[in-house]
Amino acid sequence: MTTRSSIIRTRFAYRFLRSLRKLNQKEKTNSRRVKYAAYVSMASVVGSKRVWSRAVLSKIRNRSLNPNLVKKKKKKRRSSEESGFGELRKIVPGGQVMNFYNLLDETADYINCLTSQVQVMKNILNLLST
Amino acid sequence: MDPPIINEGSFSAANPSSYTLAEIWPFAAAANGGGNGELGGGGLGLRMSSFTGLLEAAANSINESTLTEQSGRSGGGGGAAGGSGGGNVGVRKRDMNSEDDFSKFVSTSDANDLDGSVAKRLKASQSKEENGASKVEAESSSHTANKGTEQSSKPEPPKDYIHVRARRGQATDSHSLAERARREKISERMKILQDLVPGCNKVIGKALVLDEIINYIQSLQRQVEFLSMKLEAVNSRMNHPIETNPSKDLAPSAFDTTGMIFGTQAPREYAQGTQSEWLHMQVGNSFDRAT
Repeated sequence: MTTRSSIIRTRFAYRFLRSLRKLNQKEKTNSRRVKYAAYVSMASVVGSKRVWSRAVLSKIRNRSLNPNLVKKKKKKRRSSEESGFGELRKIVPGGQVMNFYNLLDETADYINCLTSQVQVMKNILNLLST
Repeated sequence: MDPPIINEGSFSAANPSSYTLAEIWPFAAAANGGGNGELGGGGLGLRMSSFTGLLEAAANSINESTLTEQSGRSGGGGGAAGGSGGGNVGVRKRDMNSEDDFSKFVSTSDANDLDGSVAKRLKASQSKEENGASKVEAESSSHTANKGTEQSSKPEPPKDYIHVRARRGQATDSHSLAERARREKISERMKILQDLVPGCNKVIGKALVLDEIINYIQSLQRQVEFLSMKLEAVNSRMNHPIETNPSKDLAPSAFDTTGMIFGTQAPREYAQGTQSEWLHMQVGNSFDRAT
C-alpha cells in the first residue's frame, strides 16, 4: 500500500510540475486551470483502471471541447438520482452510473488519491514559496 | 435413494407427494411386500427388481396375518398404498381399475396429509393393535418427509452465495441469501472507508459515516482548489526561474522532489535515512520511465 501510494505520489508530482510549467508558458492562467491540471495529472497517473479517473478525464476533456454538452448531461442525470447516497454519487466522479458496491470501492481509492494529491501539492507549494 | 425411483414417482403422480413418498421408501418397500403378497403383482416385482432382496427381508418381517388384516381393513386401499409407495405406474393403473377412490385421494390431498395417512396405514398393517404407537410413527415419518422436501429445495440457490450461512431464525430462500451477502460486502467496504477517513471510527451509523466521508472528500476537494489557487499565484510569480530551467533538469537536480513528495518538515517514516536513498532511486526511475 505504501509503495503504491509512493509511486502515485512521485508520478503525480512529475506530471503536475510538467503541466505547471506548461501553464506558465501561456499568457493567461487562472486557478481553475491549475486545478484541472492537478486533477488530470492525478487521473492519468491512476490510469483507466478506475472509474473515477476515467470520469475525471472525460469530464475535463469534454468540458474544454464542448461545455454545453456536459451541462445537458448533468441535468439529465440529476433527475434520476437516489435519495440516500446521492450525495456521495455526486461527489465521486463517475459515481452516477455505478452500483453501490463499486461506488464504495471507488470512493476508497478516490480518497487515497486525493489525500496524496493534497500532500504533494502542499509540499510543492512550500518548496516554491520559500 | 435411487434417482430412477424418484423420477418414476414424479412422473406417475405428477405431484410432490410421490417424491416425498419415495423419500421414505423403507416403509413403502414394506408395503410393497404386502401389496405383492396380496395381489401377486408380477409387474411390481419386475419393476422393483433391484429391491427384491430388501423386499424379501421386509416380507419376512410381515406375517401372513397382517397381510390379511390389511386387505380386510382397507380393501384394495392397502394395495393402492403399496403401489403409490413403490411409485409404480402399472400397479397404480391396476388399482384404478379395481377402485378409483385412491386416485381421488391422490389428486385432492396434499403431500403431508398423504404421507401421514399412508404411513399410518402402513403402520396399521404392521402393528395393528397399538394406535398410539402408529400415530407417533406416522408423525415421525411425515416429519422425515418434510425434511426431505426441505433438502430438495435447499440446493436451489446459486453457488456464489453458498458460503453464506443462515443463522437461526434467518430466512433461507435465495433472495434473502443474496441480499445478506450484498449487505456483508457493503459493510466490509464501509469499514475500509472508515479506516481511511480520519476520525470516522467513532461514528456509529451508516448514514453518519457516509456524511463524514462526504465531508472529508469535500474538504479534500476544497483543499485542492485552494492549493491550486495558491500555486497559481506562486507559479506566476516564479515565472522566470522555472522558465530558465531546461526541461531535462527538472528531475532531482532542479527541485528536491523527495521533499516535494514526502514533505520536509513532516515527521514521517519516509524521512528516515535508510529509505530516503531508495526513494531517490525510485523517483529517478519513474522520471526516466515517464520521459
